[in-house]
Amino acid sequence: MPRLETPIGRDGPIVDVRIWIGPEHEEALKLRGYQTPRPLSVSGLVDTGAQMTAIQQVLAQGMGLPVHDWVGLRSSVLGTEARDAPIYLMRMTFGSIEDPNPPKWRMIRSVGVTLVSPGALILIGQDLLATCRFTYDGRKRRLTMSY
Amino acid sequence: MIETQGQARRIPPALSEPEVALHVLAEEMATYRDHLTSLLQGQQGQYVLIKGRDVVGVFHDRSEALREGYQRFGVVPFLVRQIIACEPVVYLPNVAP
Repeated sequence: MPRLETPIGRDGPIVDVRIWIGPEHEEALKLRGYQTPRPLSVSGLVDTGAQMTAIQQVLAQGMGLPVHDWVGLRSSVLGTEARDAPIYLMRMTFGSIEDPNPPKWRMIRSVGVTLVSPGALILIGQDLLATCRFTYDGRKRRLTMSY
Repeated sequence: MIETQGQARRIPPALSEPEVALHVLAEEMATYRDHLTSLLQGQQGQYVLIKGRDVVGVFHDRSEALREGYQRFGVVPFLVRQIIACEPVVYLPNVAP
């Protein structure tokens, strides 16, 4: 399994993630003769308490992702209220663009949100973490992750 | 409420960016909810493709439904949703919705 190591910051561990449009989206662009965008490397905050992965709305719009579904969303900001939020379908994997390992893309349904965290554009939730192993070194303030 | 030239006007609460983005699917969401009872008859767990007020089709997997949607409508918003009786709610404790 590929591995990455990252410092644990004030908000938690922030890791590099690669994101890309879904294969069906890519095919549709190619069929219409449009250039397909390249994968992007962005910062993701690991949040083991988040049931799904989330993407900052401005990033989803910047990638040209169309909305194809919705989900009810609860958060500590909302209290007991639940709000409908858009779902974006995309490919995602760990590591930066420069990573020598071939990307192990996963199809992810990401919830569009206003803000993930000041230092991250993606919140990495339990769906993407389902196949990962962690070592949380609290003394050295470092997280090692196999994925 | 604000009084404007004798008429009461209700100011809608400010919508967040994701809520504005989701608004483009408002018609499809209403269509899904209107047809849910009939969709659940024998098609539970499958994926429905909806554009506007039209239920375009039901598919065995999401990818198939997405391909059909992109082929018919292009890279635009349309609904592809798994047919289930309840509306799922997820908990993301630390985000601003």
